[in-house]
Amino acid sequence: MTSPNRLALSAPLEPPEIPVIEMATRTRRDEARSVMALVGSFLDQGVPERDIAVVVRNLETYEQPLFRAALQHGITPVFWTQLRVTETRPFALIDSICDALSGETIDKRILLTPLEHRWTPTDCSEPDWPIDSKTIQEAKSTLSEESHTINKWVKRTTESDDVDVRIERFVHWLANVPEPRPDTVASVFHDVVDAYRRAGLPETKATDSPALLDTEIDARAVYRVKTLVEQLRHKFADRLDEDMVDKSWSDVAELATVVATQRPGRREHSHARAIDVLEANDVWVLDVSYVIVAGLTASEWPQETDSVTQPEFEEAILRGQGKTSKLAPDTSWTNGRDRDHFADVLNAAANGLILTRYRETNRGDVVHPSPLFEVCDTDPIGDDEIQSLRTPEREVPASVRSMLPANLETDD
Amino acid sequence: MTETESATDDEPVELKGAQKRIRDGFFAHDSGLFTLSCVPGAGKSTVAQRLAPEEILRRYVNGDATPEQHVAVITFNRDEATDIIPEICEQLRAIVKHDLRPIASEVSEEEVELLIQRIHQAPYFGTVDSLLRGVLQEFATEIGFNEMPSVGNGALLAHVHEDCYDRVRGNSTTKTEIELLEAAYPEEDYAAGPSELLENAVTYCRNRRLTTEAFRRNLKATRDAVYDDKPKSFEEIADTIGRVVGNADFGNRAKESVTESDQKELVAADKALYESWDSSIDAFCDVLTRYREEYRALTREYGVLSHTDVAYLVASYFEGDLDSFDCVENINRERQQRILQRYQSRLQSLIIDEAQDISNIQHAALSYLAHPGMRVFACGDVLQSIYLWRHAEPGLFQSATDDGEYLGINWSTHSKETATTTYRCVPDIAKAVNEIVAPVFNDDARGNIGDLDPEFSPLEAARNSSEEPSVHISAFSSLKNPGSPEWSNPEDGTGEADKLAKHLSNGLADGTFTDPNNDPLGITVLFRKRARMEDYEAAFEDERIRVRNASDNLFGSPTVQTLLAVCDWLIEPGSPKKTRQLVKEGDIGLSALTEVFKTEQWDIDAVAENHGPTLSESQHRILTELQWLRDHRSTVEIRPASVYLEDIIERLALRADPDDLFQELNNRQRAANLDALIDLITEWEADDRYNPRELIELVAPFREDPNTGPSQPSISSENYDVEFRTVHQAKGDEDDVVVIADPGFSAWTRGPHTNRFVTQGSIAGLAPPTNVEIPEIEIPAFDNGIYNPDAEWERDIGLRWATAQWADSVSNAGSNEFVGPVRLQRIARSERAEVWRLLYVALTRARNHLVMPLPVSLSPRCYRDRWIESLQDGMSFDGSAESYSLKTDRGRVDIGVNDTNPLMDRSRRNTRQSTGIASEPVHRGSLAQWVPRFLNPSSMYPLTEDPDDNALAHLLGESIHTDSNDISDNVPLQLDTFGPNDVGEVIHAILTKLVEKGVSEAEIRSKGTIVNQVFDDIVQNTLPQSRDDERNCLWEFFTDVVDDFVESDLWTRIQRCNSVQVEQPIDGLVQRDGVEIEIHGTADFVVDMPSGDQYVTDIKTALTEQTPQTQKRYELQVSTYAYLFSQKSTDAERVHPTIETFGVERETVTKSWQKRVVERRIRLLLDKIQSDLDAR
Repeated sequence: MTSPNRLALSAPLEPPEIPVIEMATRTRRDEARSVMALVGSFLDQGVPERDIAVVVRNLETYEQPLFRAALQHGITPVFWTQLRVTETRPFALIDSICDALSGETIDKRILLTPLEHRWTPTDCSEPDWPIDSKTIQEAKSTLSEESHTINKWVKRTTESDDVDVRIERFVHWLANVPEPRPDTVASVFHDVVDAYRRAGLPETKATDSPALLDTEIDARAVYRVKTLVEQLRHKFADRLDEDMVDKSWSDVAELATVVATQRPGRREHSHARAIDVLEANDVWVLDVSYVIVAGLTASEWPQETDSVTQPEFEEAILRGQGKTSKLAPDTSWTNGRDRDHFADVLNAAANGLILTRYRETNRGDVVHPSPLFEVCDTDPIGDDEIQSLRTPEREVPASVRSMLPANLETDD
Repeated sequence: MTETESATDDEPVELKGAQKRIRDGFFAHDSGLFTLSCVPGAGKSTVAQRLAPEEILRRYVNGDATPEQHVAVITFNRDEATDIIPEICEQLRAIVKHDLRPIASEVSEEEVELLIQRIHQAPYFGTVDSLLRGVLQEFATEIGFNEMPSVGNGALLAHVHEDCYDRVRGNSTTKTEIELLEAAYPEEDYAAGPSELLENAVTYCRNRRLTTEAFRRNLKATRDAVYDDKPKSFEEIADTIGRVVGNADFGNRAKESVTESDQKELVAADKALYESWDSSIDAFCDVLTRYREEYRALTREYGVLSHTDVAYLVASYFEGDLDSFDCVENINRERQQRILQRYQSRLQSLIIDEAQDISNIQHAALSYLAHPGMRVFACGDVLQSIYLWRHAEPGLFQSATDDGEYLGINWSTHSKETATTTYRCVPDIAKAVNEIVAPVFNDDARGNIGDLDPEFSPLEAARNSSEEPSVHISAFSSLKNPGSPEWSNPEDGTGEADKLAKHLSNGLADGTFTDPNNDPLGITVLFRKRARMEDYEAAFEDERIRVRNASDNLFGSPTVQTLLAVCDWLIEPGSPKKTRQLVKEGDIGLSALTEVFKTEQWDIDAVAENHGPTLSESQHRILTELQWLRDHRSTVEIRPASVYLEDIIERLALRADPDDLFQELNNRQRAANLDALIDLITEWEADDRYNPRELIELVAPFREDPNTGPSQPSISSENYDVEFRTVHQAKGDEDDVVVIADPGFSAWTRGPHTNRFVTQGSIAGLAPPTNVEIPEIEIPAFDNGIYNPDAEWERDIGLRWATAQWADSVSNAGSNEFVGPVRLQRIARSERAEVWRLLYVALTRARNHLVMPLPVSLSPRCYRDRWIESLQDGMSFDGSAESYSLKTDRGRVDIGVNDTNPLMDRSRRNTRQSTGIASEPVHRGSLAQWVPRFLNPSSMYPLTEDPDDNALAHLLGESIHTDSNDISDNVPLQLDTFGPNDVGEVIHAILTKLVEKGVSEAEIRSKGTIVNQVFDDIVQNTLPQSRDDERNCLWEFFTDVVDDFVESDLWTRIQRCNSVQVEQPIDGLVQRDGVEIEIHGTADFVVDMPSGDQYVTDIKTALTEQTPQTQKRYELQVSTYAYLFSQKSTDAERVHPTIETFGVERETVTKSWQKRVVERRIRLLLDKIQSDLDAR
């Protein structure tokens, strides 16, 4: 009835030739904790970090649960996803400066936010920059609630004995920022980011964990925002030429956000002892001893993709009969892309594969397993074993233990 | 298995009886309406999920390449909706595998897989809401939304309503009306104020698609049902009394019993009430008009809608009256028709599960998608309709079943069936349920009191009988008031809950409530309302029964409250006021320091510094973490709330709770609550970001009243013995043991007579205002005279509103009537009928055991108002302490009375309060010390020498500074706009470019046009900001360098080589102690000589004299190249890495170190990192 070519798109995948273990937990967060417990147990057994990879279909939903679970287990994870620049302090710094320069009048919160994001003078060599949070918070609670122009704030902060002189210095700087032009935008922000690099970034490192989790993000952000400032100069010039923006700091901020949210940039991570957590589409070239695949639920993997074309039309092209044989189908029209990624994951694992899923949402709604489970003949880990795995002692489930080579360090 | 037991798991299950007949009818017609009424546990969902795969298969066999596009399977319940696709896939496979239908043989297994793949993409399988959401998505932007709004975000919707009220309150045009309403309906503990009334009115209007004017008419019709007209005399009042009591004598009695002066006073007050009521309705509707406008605007501004809104917008869009209803003009009619046609042509089969729960507006919206050419299958059970309060209209399903009218179509083909076989409970429970509820549903004063016709079909159990009793009575004695705390859990421990708890506890010990392995059965205790849950919990705790209360609210969780209190503080942590609030009310473990904080003016630093020695370890830790949170406050402004809340949880160890601050059920529940909150906030935020101020505003309604928010998540059953749930929560579920708790509650205590705004179907009513002076003069049949809204705990609040007073209790009028105006009493009757359906739902959740607490004697009996008498009568329980056998039409039922062994000591199950890792504090300090994963040969030396100092530069990809970056005084460079690194970069780029371009030696020596051009291009690109004088200096320096360059061995080799490549990547790995480090370098020149030798050369530009460190750096770089080549090639000895330095110094560095120095360096790096860590 239907051509073999079309049927081939839904043909079952080749099952892997390595042991496959299934681990099902109650919720997604339980799953994340179990995954990281398993990673921890591998490390306990002497498996090197680079021999372990955690794979999910979409990091959007898994990054935070896995990150928190990893910390809980004393594991440093790195997520192979692009930096969310707008959620970093260097970006927030330039954004908050734009905010402070945008309004005719501004309130104390907007005024002081750049300082919260560690604004530092260009020519500062004093050790007391950036200003500590306590001083800023105290200023927030002592300054008046009314909004003022920047010049009025200059007056207020100058006249007040309660305001720290560094705050006064910042407000003066703000008052002297030139009108936004491509060159001034670039030079102002170059100076701001350079000063952040010099004073703000070391501050992050000073209070960071030994794994430098925050420092790495902050450093990546500095690097990215430096590039962004360059791009901003050109984009702002272009948009001004095209009359698409005004010479206003609010338009500069908007443009900066647009540029930043395009999210290009480096993804590499610098910690050799961190565990890689990747999206499935990044797995195809990898060869890792143990791959833990999380989120294999019916609603997440495979996932229906939005398509603008009608399903009947898509199906006709997929079948490729008659004239439609000349048209190329989009991979999103079937769940082929997800299946291929899953196949990549199966291939990436050299010694063992652990497929994990969760059974219900926090609301108690049932979550069904992914149909991709049908590909593999899995050996399930029992609930009691999962419980034992998730204790601080991280008792390795028997089926997992049997995956490990005999010469690795074991508890036995 | 809910349908019929199969012999083995592998054998297919076939539909039987009514299920089979309705299936056959469905497939025998191309169009029509097919309804199936099912008793609880009869497997109505099973039928729905059988029709769909067969329909898909049939369509496919008939040539439909996309059959899943033409079938919709929808249900009311979200949980059941998630089962639809897996169930349909499984059934499809079963049909083909077992050849259950003739068409099964026409498809191959591959085709089944193809269909399953397609089913996973089916667009119309889910809840009614999800189907309608999909429709709305088609035109959301056309009606003023920027994008598809979020649907059902309770917090955001609460915010929208709050803003709506603020806006109408602040609007000068409605100022007077608002003042009037606030005076007439002041907000009270159990009484809605204007804001809640308006919110409910909007929902009602949208659910009924009413204009505000139509709504006003509705309210006035209710007012007119109470008052024939404005009262002019006491005679008229007396007539009304006679009418609403159902006995004219009462009017006469009123005239006789009320003195003339009181009559006058009453008439005057009643007139005032009438007028004031009229004004209140007008004011309410005037404000509502404005409120609806604001609601329309704010839902668009916030991008949020309720599920009712979605259905309303879909119905109105297709009806074409969005302009009058929602002020949306310029709807593109052609587009609207196209969308409608697309849905109608797509949807050929519509399968609706739980059809009794569909609301009026959902039905209206679905009606547009339905057409006479389709097949509609609807299954449900009117007797299980318990969602009137959520606007469910079971009458729609009843009319579909009875009259063949559904979805706006009078179906010419209409078939109906009733399935009475239940696969859930054992026969004795089925018989007991029949004995209890059959009289209830046949009674015009109980189950049959409402508008619905509750045609009860007795349950027929398909399961085998059990040998031991399945129906149990926990008998007890009490002289107190049923449903009261003293009745449930008196101090002497002999109350309803006490006896029940003992019964269950003993039953868990003696095996009555355990399985054959002696594992405890699941026990659910069902309540109609939450009122007595606490008393029950106390009684159960006394019996060491662990209770999980599924009705506990998430925002009532102490840990969640503390988390939000800290978040609130983070809005302004420098504010003494905020700190005071946190310390005193935040339950964060600092309340004992209140006086200290006060002394230190609420300064956490001062407390930490000045009182350190007196602080406990826990207090010290909490203060330190608060300081940390304050110092990192800026991150909460830039990160999602779900992320910074996790930071707070981590810092304060809220999941771990090392100081036992939070009295929650157990640590798993605490962790699950925090997980649930984070998930909830993540869902709310989507792509938005809520800073602490916005978040706290958003959750304010839930913090204020946790009852309005979500419930706590349920964790695995291993940590409790019984679960408390409301019957509404248990709908659709079942359990091994079901207990009917608190059956003595009085149904009359809450109802229309206690509500200020009532709605039921087409009737709406706003109660008379509460601020009219009414004399406290009794009139016959009404203890509260004309109107006394404060008497909310009595059966009536006066003549002028609804009552819960039975007519025969005050007169000889009909025993099945309530006193009061017919229109309002219809609402009371409908609500009362639902109370009895609720009992039916509760009883039918049981699988193996049904337990009910009953008093040995009961007086007086209020059988119409309480469940307890119906249970007692149904069980024919005479108070005997002995178990007995109940004779029924369908056979005997063994009833166990207190039938567990009181002497059995119940050893608690192994509870293992799992202290999973989530309950351990996080210590970031113990994370593995940072080790660079990627190294560059050129920076290996400084990085391995001092990893801590050079980490930042390394992370930033900057050149790691060494002394070689200084500039000698002899160098003719003037550097203002660029630095030494830039010089190196430019020189390096020019030299490699010249080689790459194959520029001749003569040309280079002459510094001719080409060299000039290369120099200018590179300087321009690299140093656009440089000045002319700087460029001139740079040129001068370059000419010196390039002269040395052409004199070098490197240049000589380039002239004689087979090939030269520039900027060649050289990569490799070093593994040490299980740590893998990647080395990525780029060699400036790779020169292949005719001899087979290969020269790998990097060039350096020296601006100052080299130091020993520089020398070592270069030597290590060269050795690293050698190491990398040795990894790649067996002929590594023929590879000659070198470094050529030009500039102030001219030097060639060749390999002098052993390759293993590289591994040693890595070892050194790891050791240094470890020692840095140890030193911290």
